[in-house]
Amino acid sequence: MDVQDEVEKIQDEVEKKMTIETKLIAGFLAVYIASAAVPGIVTYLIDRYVQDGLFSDAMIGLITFCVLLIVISILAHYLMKWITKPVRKLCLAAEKMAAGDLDVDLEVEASAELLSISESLSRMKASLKIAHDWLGSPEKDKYQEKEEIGGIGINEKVMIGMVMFLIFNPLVTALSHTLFQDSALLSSLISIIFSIILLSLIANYLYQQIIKPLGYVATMAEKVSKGDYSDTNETIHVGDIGRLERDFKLISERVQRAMKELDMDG
Amino acid sequence: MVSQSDIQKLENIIVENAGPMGKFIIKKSMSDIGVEPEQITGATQVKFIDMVLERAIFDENKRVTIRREILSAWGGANV
Repeated sequence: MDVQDEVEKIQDEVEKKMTIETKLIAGFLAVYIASAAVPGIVTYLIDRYVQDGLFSDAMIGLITFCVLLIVISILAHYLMKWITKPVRKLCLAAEKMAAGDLDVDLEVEASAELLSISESLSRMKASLKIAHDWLGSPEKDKYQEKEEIGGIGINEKVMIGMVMFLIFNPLVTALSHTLFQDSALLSSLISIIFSIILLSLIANYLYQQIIKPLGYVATMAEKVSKGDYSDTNETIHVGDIGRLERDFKLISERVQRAMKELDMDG
Repeated sequence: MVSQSDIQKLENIIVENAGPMGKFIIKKSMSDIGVEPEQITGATQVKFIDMVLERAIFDENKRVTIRREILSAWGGANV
C-alpha cells in the first residue's frame, strides 16, 4: 500500500466519524421516540396483565412517569458518555500538556470535530517533544485541575436541552388536546408542529452552545498546530470548550517560547 | 536541485506531522548542512531529508512513511 492509499484510508476513517451534530440529533430522536412510546407501552402492559380497576388513573400516570424517568435517565447516561466523555478526556489531556506533561494519551473514540482537535494536539505534542529534545525537558508544573472558566459544562448543556424537551413536549401536547378537543386530527397536527418548533429551538440552543464553539476551537487548533497564530487572542468561550480553548493557547505559548529560545541560540 | 516549492512541500508535510516546530527544524537543518535549497542535490538531498526526519519525527516507523511521502512530493527522487 503506498502513502497515498494510507492517507486516503485515514481520510475515509475521519469522514466516517459522526459529527457531534449528528450524535445530538440521534440522541434526541431516541429521547423523542422513548417519550412517545413508553406511555403507550406502559398502558398496554397494564391493560393486558393487570386486573381491571387495580390501579387508578393517577397511579397509572405515576407508574408511566417513573418508567419514563428510568428510560430517559438510561438514555441520557449513554448520550452523555457518547458525546461528552471524549471532550472531557481531551480537556484533561490538554490541561496536562499545558503543564508540560507529554505522556498524555490523545486517542479518543470521538466525533469528527474532536478527532480534528485530537490531531492538532498530537501535532503540538510532537512540537513540544522536539523542543524538549533541543532545550532539555523543563520541570513539569505540578498538575492541578485548573479552575473552570465560568459557564456550565457540555454535560449540563445537553441535560438542559433534554429537560426542556421533556417538560415542554408533553405540555404542548396537553395544551393542543385541550384547545382542539373537537378535532383529534387538528390537535395532533398542532401538537406535531409545536414539537418540531420546540425541537428546532433546542437544536439551535445546542448548536450555539456546543457545536459552533467546538467548531471554532477545532479550526483555531488546526491553524495554531500548523504555525498560524492569527487567531490566538483572548479565550472567548466558557465551560469545557473554554477550558479546551484556553489550554490549547497555553500549549501554543509553550511552543512559541521554545521557538524563540532556539532562534536566539541559533 | 531542490526548489523553493519543494521546500514548501517539505514544510507542509513536516508541520502536518510535527507541528509548528517543523518549520524551525527545516531552517536549522539547512543552516547545519550549510547549503541553500538550490544547492541540495543528489546525496545531499537524502542527507538533508534524513536529518530533518531524525530531528522532527521520533517514531521510526512513521519516519519511513513520511520519508516516502516527501520523496513522492519531490517528484519521486530515486533514492
